[in-house]
Amino acid sequence: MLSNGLRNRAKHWIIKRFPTAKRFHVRHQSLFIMPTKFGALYLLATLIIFILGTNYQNNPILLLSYFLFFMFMWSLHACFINLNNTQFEISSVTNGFAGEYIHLNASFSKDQQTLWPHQLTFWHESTQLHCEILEAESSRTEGTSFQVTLPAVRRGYHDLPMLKVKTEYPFGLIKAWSFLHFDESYWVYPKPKPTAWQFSDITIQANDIDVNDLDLLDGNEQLAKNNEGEERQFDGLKSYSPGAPMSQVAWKQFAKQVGDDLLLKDFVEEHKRPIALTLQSIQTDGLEKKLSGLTHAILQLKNDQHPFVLTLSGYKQPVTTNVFNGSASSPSQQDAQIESCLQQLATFAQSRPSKSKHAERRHDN
Amino acid sequence: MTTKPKQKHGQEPTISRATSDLATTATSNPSSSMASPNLSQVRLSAAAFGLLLLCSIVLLFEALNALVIILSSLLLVAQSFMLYKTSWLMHSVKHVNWVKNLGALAFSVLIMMNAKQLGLLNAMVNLLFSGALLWLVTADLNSPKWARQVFAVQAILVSVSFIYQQDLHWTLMALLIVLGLFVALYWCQSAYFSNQAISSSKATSPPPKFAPMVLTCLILSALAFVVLPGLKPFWKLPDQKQNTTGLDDKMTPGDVADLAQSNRLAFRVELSGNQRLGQWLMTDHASRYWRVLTLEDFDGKTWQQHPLRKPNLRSRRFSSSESHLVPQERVRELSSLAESNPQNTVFMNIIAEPTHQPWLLSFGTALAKTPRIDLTLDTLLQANQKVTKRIKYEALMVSPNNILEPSSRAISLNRQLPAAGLNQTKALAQRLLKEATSSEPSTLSANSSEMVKHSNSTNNEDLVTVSDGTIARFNALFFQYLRNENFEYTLQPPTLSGDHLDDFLFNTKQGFCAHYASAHAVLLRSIGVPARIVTGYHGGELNPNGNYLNIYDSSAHAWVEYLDSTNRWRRIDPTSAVSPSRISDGLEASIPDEAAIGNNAINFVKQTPWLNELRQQLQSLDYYWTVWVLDFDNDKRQNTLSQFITLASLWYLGLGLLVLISLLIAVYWLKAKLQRPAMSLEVFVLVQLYKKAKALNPQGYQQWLSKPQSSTLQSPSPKLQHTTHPSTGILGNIDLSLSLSEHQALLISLMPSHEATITSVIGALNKHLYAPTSATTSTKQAALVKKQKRQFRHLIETIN
Repeated sequence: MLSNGLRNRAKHWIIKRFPTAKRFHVRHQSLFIMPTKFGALYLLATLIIFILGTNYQNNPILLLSYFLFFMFMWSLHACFINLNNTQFEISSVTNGFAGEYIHLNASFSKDQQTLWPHQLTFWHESTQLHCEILEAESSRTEGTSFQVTLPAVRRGYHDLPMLKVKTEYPFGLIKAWSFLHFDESYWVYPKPKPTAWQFSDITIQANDIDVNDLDLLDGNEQLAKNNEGEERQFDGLKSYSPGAPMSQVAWKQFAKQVGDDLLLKDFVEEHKRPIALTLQSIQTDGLEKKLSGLTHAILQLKNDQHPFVLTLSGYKQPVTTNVFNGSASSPSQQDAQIESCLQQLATFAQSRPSKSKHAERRHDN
Repeated sequence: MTTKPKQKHGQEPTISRATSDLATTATSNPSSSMASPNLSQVRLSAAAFGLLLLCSIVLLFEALNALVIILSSLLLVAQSFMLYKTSWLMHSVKHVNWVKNLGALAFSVLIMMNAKQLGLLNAMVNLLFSGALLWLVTADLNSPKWARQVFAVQAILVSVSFIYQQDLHWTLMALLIVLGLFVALYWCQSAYFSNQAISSSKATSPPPKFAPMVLTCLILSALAFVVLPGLKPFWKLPDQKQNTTGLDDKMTPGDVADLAQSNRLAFRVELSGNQRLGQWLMTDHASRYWRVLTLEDFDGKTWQQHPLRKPNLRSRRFSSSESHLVPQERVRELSSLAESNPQNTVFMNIIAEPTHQPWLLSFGTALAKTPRIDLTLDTLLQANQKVTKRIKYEALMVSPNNILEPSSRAISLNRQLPAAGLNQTKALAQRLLKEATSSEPSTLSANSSEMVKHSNSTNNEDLVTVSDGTIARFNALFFQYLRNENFEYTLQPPTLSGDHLDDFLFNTKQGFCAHYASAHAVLLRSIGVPARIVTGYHGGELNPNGNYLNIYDSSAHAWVEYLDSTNRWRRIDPTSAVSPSRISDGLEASIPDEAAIGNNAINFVKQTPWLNELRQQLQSLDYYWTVWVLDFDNDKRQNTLSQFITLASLWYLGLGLLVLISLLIAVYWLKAKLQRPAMSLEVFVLVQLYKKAKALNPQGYQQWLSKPQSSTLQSPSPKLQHTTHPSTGILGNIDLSLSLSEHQALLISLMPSHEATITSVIGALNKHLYAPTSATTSTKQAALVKKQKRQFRHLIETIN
């Protein structure tokens, strides 16, 4: 309990001390330095050697112990110099899906013509983050860009957490660290999960579905029917992708074939009718699973260039509608549309965007 | 509900799998707790640690068990092969764990079994070593932890190795190992934490700025060593158990020959004080008889140190009044004698190598000036504990001869002979005595005539029945006998049977110093003269660099000491009769063939002049290492510090300040010079041109100078940029506000004959100045400007 309290207090202290910014300049005021466990072991070994030297009245042993001690002091100095005066600047954060990773693009530089900061590691809480140096710039003014990978855990709109940058250069005897609290936020979209959302299936199962839900399914049913009734020209076969109407599956080819890959009859479609996507079009229970299913569906439809209309309602949330026009709009427009759909899914039914929460807290302070 | 317990059950294996699959997840999962290390560098550092461990075997050779050495070498070799499959090693962490446990068990059983033979300290060293070895061999290469453990243990191992030897070369090797450890640790560290793209340095390079780091640390630790006071031992630690080396307290003819094969350095002696005596000792090989032991107890075959003389090392000494030591009053008397008679005293600084015996080297009658070393009644120096590490002691030679008077007990002791046996030898003694008493003094050989000094002291009549003259004649006759019977000096005599001395004197007639000394002592004893064997060293090699003597085990020697009628011990060396060159020039000169056996390498070095020079230089380095470092204690610390303080307090301080200030000024000047922007290209070229003009047309130049500068002239071409150069020399005369074309006109008027060249130079300059520069960075640009300057200078050179 006590240690927890202390830890929380330390955390608060650090948050206060490192306000969010786009740019961090690590100076001696914002740099922590301590011996590592190995450093303690090393000092213990040095002490043992010193005692040996004294007890045997052996001057070389004493000299060795002094040498080891000064090497320790020097590595303290080297470790400090290594991290001190390093500037970190964030350039961008990528968005990602829950369960995957988001990438933080940043760069570091040293203002003096000293050594590069060596052996930098990035930490969140107590887990080390994967860090990749993208390019070591030849000119020192521009800095070295690197990419830190953060796990995306929950969907939503998040602020970047407090990152710890740490180095144990050169021998692992000493650790120096500082905190980076970048003023950036990122989206974590729901984890895409292939769920049953095939429309043909929905039409078949429509009989079993409660009457209450029927009106919500209306749009899909209509769509499926419309699709069947349409005049289409057979164009060839393509590999099966989930979510395709069952009517398009080339059952004859499947029967002839040895393997179990489904093939789809491909039709040249003059004009695709938009699909209506709602929470209820996902055949699972639980909001998160439904959102996951919708995410997958959206990505799939985008891949197929199939237009859709995403309507989110219920859960005491205002009804929102997002439209994807498919091939009708330009790629950049498409991306923007998909992005807004995904963002809608990411924050759906979340009490409040975490961003504003942070902002409030900062105001309180 | 049924699935729940199943899931719980299934949790355990997943947790354990998480650790063992770390390597696989590390590569596939970008955000696992540890990034995947740089495999080649891990391999490199592991190999380096293995190599260093192998090197420390050499350092700890005396402590380690043979089996441990063999096993560890095999394991390390096996590991270095396995390192080719590093990725496999990283996966099989679990499988390797039992190897570690089993290995630890096996090693500890092995060491326990030999614990008695090894002694406590050696057993500990063995345990530590095998621990480091197992840690290394079964290292879990997924995290840098292994290197840290191995590093700490190996640092302790290296320090322990200094208990066994402290020679300079071993110390350097230990230092190299420690530095290697740091480098290997750095490799390991960067393998796990460094990013490939950013580490511009190669994988095999030491950490940046490693050399200044090491140098600073070395200097600082040397300073700390000098300044920090030494502490008293906190507690007693176990001594190492080792085989004794050097001279033995037993001598059955044959022992010294073994020593003669050994090239171990036993003692180093530096002489100071009386110049004449010191020089004499330094240069006269024949007179350098270094005493170490007296052997007084003879059982017919073996001479050994009498139990009376043996120091009691077990009991803690509370007073120095021990039965075998010279009483304190007598020591004081001797030292006052030495003070009153400084012509006959020499100060000796002696470094003794560890022998694990208490006895030390002395010369003539010498008083120890170092605590815990005493003068014994048989005129030897003895430490009150075994010499387990290299020590340095000081001794004051009161007299080159043995001037301690023997006790009555010692006299009777030195007359004893085994009752039975040695009949032929005793008969020879009687025959020689008869000849000696009957022959006239005039027939004596010249060298022994000086010994004839008849003493009238009635006091000693009952002790020595044979007169000095008779003894001298007796000795001379014995020497003559040795020469006449063609005795041979050899280090490989035939083995003796029966009564050893009878066999030697009348049968084999081959032997070395031990044989002759033994025979001579027995002969003297059998005519009633107290005699004993003194063992020690004879000769020694002079090192010209350090002006000190190296005494090797190969110069071990044995001679005879007998009591004359004045109750003084006299030295006589029967070996000199058989092999005069052994005494005058040393063993190698007397029997070069035999002495060379087994020492081919060292002989080759000695015979190659430059190698020998190098050897002696290294030896003197080691000597100073011993004097300055190994022997450094609180007294010396005090001395050095006070010396330093007195030095610093005087004008040295002022000098130091002056040097410091001038250094600071130099640094500032250099810095200012470096920071001053380099001359721009156009200014440089103009200065060059005007210089040329001045050289070619001094009058015109002067005229131009005296004329008011035509800066009022307005020109359409762009002005040259002003830079804040200090206006000195030619630069000051050039009006930088003029345009290039104006300069051109001016220069042409100064040097009309070179119009074409000037025009071309100015034209080229114009082109360079206003052409778009291709260099992007400042360093590149600087290089470019430099290159262009060179080209322009070349061009201007053509003007004459």
